[in-house]
Amino acid sequence: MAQLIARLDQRLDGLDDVAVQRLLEDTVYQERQRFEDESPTEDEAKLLARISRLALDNRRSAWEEACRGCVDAYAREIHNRFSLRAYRMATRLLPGALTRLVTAPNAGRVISRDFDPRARIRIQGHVEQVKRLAERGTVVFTPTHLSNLDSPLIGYALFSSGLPPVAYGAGLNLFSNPVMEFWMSRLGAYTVDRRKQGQLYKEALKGYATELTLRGVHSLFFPGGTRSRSGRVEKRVKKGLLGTAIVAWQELLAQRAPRSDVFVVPMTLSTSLVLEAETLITDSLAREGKSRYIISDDEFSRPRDVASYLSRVLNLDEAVHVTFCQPMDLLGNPVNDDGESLDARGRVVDRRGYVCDRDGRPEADPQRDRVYTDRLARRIVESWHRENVALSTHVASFAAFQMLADRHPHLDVFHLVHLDPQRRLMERGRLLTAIDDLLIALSTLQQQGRIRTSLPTTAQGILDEAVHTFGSYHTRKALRPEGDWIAADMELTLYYRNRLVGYGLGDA
Amino acid sequence: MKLGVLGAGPWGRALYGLAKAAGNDPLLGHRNHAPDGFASTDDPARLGAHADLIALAVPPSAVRGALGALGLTSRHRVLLISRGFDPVSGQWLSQLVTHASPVLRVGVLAGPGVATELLEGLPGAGVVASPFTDVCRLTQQALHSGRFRVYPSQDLRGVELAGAAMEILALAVGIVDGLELGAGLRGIVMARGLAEAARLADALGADGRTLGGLVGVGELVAATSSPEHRAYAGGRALAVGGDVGRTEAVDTARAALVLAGEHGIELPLCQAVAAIGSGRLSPQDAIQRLMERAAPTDES
Repeated sequence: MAQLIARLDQRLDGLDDVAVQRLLEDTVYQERQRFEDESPTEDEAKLLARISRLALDNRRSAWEEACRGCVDAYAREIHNRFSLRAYRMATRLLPGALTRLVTAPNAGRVISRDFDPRARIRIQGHVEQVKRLAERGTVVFTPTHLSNLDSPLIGYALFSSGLPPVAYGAGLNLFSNPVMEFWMSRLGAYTVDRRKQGQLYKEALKGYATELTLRGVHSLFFPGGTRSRSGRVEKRVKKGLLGTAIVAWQELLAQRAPRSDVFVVPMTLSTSLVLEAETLITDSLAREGKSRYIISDDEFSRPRDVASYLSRVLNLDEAVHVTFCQPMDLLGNPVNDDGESLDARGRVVDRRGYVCDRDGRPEADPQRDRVYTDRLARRIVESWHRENVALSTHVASFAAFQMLADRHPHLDVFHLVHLDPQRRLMERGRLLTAIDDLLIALSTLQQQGRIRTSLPTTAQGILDEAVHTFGSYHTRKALRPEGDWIAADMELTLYYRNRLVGYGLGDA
Repeated sequence: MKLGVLGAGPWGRALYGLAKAAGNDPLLGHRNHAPDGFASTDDPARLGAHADLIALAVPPSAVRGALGALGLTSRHRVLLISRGFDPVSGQWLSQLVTHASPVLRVGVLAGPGVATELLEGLPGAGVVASPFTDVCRLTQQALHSGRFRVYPSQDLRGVELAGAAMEILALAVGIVDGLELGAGLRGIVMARGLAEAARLADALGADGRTLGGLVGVGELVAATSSPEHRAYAGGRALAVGGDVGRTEAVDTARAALVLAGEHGIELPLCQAVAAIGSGRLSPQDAIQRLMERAAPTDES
């Protein structure tokens, strides 16, 4: 905590009186807003009363004291039960534990005894390189985000690949699920409360992430900020936490620390089915969805749904693909096996020159760092799109949705999802032709290195696999056969189709 | 402030003089004969080793070669004086810098300054654009003085676009003046050319207001008032049937058309300049075709 307070003091030193007062007033205002929707705990009420009183004081020292009080309280909450010692021990404790987690809370009943997660969860990409980099420096993993099950899934992928465990920020709401709470608290999760919008909370969170990196703790966070509501591969990312890595790196350089390297490893998670798909797409389409940032009443909050999902999905062949993308430095340059940065021509470049003076001393320049982080963010997004894996549920849904969209060119997406049932029927033969056309386009994209695919070789195979997969889990089926016809649930078809949007495949 | 200026042409020498006026000790990189009175070198690598900020005062076609010769590293900042596109790849020159060298911190200096006037000690001003305020600050330290004002901007794409568009427009106005078609048509070409540039700026996410500033209107007025401006003089020569060879403005027009095509934007004036420059249309026919286009629905 002392380090976070010192970090805050450093920040306050750079602010004039008005800015310090604003920083505090912003937090008081945001917290009051929050408590209009929910009741504060006793501690929260006390803290708010105290900082409100200090905010009315005329002295800067009182405002600074209030800021310190806030950051101290927030830091304690964020830290939760995370323990550096427990984190370091985790490598030894993990065997079996994570496997049990991804094989469901009730493994004996819902998963067959000979279940082998390695056959179901395909882990691919730059695994060996990432292992080497994790020994040389600190790694920040930045995955795409579809489901609340992503964190344990990544935990499993790291463990089964021989990679060390990571610290990660998990939404406070996730701790309401007792199974997840048990594991997350012990496996590196610190808490992130996205309802807290005050600037001081963000300062505390960023300070915490910076300190973790400074201590060589590998970490994971979802730059998309939240689960992709629409099912699309994220195009924009939040840069607050991402930007902490470059701050930590420069502090390590200034200390001339032996392990000063910090690497970023984007990851993609591609799954045939998504646990919360029905809730997420409904939320995405709902007018109020835009302001509904935290969903606490989705499938994830219902243990039976989670068990059902795990039992169905993890019994499908290669239903889950976890891809470790090309590792990068904090400027978005690719790095080689030895951790050296490569410029656009593939030549080794001394990355320290981007932030240091001629004598190798880091030069503080937050604006420059923001531009570098913007670049890194763009590279992460590009990487996600390249390493996204197209699966049969995505391809069949894309072809089906586009077919219906083409049939109703005057309707926008919001009207298309409300098509009456008769108009959602497609002739199987025509749908197969559309899938065939899509396969050709995807094959070209794959050859260009713009996407990955894991698909049956024929349109028939894709459609059969998609229908079978959809039939295994959701209460509504995205695509289901009706004689020679295929009927679509427009919302779910849209959700799974969206995974292929942005590749120039004819989507609007 | 260690400034290196590559290129000993009028712009290179003018920048050298401005840096001296700002109290700095620049180093000038030249290819052939060392100009008198300048601290200079014919070794680009020495220039690279000397400077933190390197101004590339060479034509667009020479930028790629210069990047290779300077021995640039990650600590360097590059300031482009040439504007527009790399004629080989069609990339913006700022993109070329980040693709063909390890440099990420790049900026562009543009504006209504006329090199020969600056060499004579006349006052001037320019805009330095870069997403990195560090590049803008260093450029101001290097060049800003009572003789030359340097305005910072973060709209790199807008300044590059405006600089490129003004080259094309200067050539177009040169043709109109060469053919003595009157002040009215001169005004029309300027206004419609700015409208075309604004459409492209919008598509590229650049700030359209940049076109109304020093690099846009300011530069257009200066270029079309100076008989020595290369693009404007080239336009006047084309109008009277002169063979001006390969001109940067025509290369720029071609590259701009490719870019506009990618965004589904029409640039009729730019198209006319490219057609005249490649000899596919006479200036007179090009103007006639522009006038005969379908009636517009509005002025945008």
